[in-house]
Amino acid sequence: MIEFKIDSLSDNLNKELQEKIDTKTKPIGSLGMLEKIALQLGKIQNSLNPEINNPNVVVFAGDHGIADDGVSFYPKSVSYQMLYNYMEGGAASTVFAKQHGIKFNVVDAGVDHDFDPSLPIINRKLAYGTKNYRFEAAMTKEQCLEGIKRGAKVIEEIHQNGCNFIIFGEKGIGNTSSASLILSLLGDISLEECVGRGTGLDKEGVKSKFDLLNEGLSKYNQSKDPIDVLTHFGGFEIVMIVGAMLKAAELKMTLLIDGFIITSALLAAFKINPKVKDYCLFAHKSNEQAHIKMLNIMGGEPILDISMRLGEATGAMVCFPLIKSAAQFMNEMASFQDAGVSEATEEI
Amino acid sequence: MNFDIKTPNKELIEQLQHKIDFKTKPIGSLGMLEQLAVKIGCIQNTLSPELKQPTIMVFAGDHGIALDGVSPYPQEVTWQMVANFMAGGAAINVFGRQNGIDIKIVDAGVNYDFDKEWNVIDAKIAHGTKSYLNGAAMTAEQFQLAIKRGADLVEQAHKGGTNIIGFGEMGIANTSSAAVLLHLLADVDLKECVGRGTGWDDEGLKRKYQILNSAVENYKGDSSIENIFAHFGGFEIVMIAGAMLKAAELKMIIMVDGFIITSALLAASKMNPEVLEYCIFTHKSNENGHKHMLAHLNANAILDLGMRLGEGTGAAVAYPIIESAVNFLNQMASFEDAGVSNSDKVVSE
Repeated sequence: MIEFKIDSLSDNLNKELQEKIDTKTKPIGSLGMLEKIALQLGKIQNSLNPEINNPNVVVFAGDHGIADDGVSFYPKSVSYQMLYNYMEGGAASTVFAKQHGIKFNVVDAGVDHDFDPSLPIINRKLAYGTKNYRFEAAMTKEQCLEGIKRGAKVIEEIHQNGCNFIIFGEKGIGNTSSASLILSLLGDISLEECVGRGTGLDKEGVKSKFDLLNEGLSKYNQSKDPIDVLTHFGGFEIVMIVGAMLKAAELKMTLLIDGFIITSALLAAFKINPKVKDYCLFAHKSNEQAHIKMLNIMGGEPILDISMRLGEATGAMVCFPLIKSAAQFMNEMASFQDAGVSEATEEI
Repeated sequence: MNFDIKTPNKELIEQLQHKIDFKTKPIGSLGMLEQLAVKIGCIQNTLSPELKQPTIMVFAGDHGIALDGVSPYPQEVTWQMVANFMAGGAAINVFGRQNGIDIKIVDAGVNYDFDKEWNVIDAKIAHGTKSYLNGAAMTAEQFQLAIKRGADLVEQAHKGGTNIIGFGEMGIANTSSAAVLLHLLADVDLKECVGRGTGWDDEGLKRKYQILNSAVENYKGDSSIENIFAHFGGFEIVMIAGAMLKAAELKMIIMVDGFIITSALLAASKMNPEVLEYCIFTHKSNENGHKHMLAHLNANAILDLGMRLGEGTGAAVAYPIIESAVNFLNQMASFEDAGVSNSDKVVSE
């Protein structure tokens, strides 16, 4: 497996960053979470003037063998159809990317469809969908390692274009199932607690999804090694995102983490190298019920809680302007001294 | 002054919901954005709403009670911060620039004479209110004038093309007014209403409570909204209430910020409850009493980031999320448009 060398964040600037925040013309602490975000951006970039440069979103798409068993509310063909929808700018993800000036990239990690090569889809296809893990491993170990490598390479290229801020998204009918299994194994949580409504199953649908996944789980050798778990239960898009995240952290980019699927990829990346988490901001708490359990494992504090569960990086993109606000108040607000404003007269 | 506020067209709810449900996404998966889209569509009486020239008006005023020691900051910070607004260095300026929101600064009653060249909008009622420890903060005439001036300013913005407006405030000690208004208008225990404001420690908080408790005990007026509001309000708060009522009359979307602004809304809603139909609650402030206000108004805020800065900053940072709600409604493809298979479990009506 390729090695990722992720540096720990330095605490060298902590004091200066906090002082800069505290002398802005506002009551101390009054920007709440925006202050925490500013501090973390400063630490990641090792700068008192953190900047968000050329933000990019990368949506990785892949199909899942398990989808044929009916774990999703939607048919499998929706994966590739939604990629065409991205090309037309008609998906939630593309609407929000346009709103915020975030460059939108789509990677075919393993969709069960051939796209016209003239389309702006980055072709990194590992296969036409994974195998059904109800019966066998979703992919081979070679495919898994290759996926990690390809994901890393995609990020390296984006980074070379001056991007220091990255958002990951996913598209893959059936992929909440992978995420649930990854959480169950790597988070050591009973499968029942990890399975949710996905795109819109009712109670009965959730039960039959659980039964199918449980059957898959019972045939697995129960290894908790993240590569083993990803190989057996991953999707190609999830595996590539794992590699992409590790590389992004190595390159000291800031990662804005979306919902359930993306956080499952981060959980796997975290088990490979826990330092990746230091480079992450957690955009939102998804309405997919087990998401909060993932966040808790890594101590991730979600910024938004507006009951979204759409995927495609939409939670992260809706959150993006708040991250920008954090960078901007650091760089643009006057200090008490600059503005000639009196500070509190009493020791508070 | 009376405001004729019409109820938004709720007959559109079903059509809006239908439009939302056939967008290329799982049903309900945009969560609160979907609720916002429905609300805005109803207010504008259209399936394709638009946000035009978003504006935040920041009203500044001084409070006599500040001299009684309810805030850790000296009163002069009010005018100094107005100067900071005009120089573009305050949090609200930064977020306004970021999100394309026009920031207007209004002198509702600051205890300072601004240089005309600063271009602060002059709506000054007086050089600060009187302390309400032993008497009314303002006269009935001043109160009516403030309501009218707030309404007039919103009318101007509306004429200029604005259809979504937020309000901000600056006024040392104005969390005290907000706390007392919450206590009296929503019948919440005063202890729960008084918070740390700009940053009191436990002892300062206790002193603030005692001062406000005496002020409430000394109140001899009746329980009419006008009398309570004139007695304990600030010029900026009363002006904001007038501004909100006018904004609702003009069918504008009102972005409600934190503790002080919600206190103005609480008062406005006691004058005309229909104003609430036009409100989007942008954030839950970290000031303790705000959650009680939101609960009283049965409001669900978009953000909960532990902010408590004031100036309209909560509304300013939440604005792009409101924009996202409108954008998805207007720009997303339907399953049919995009040729995406819908779930066979979704049945068209």
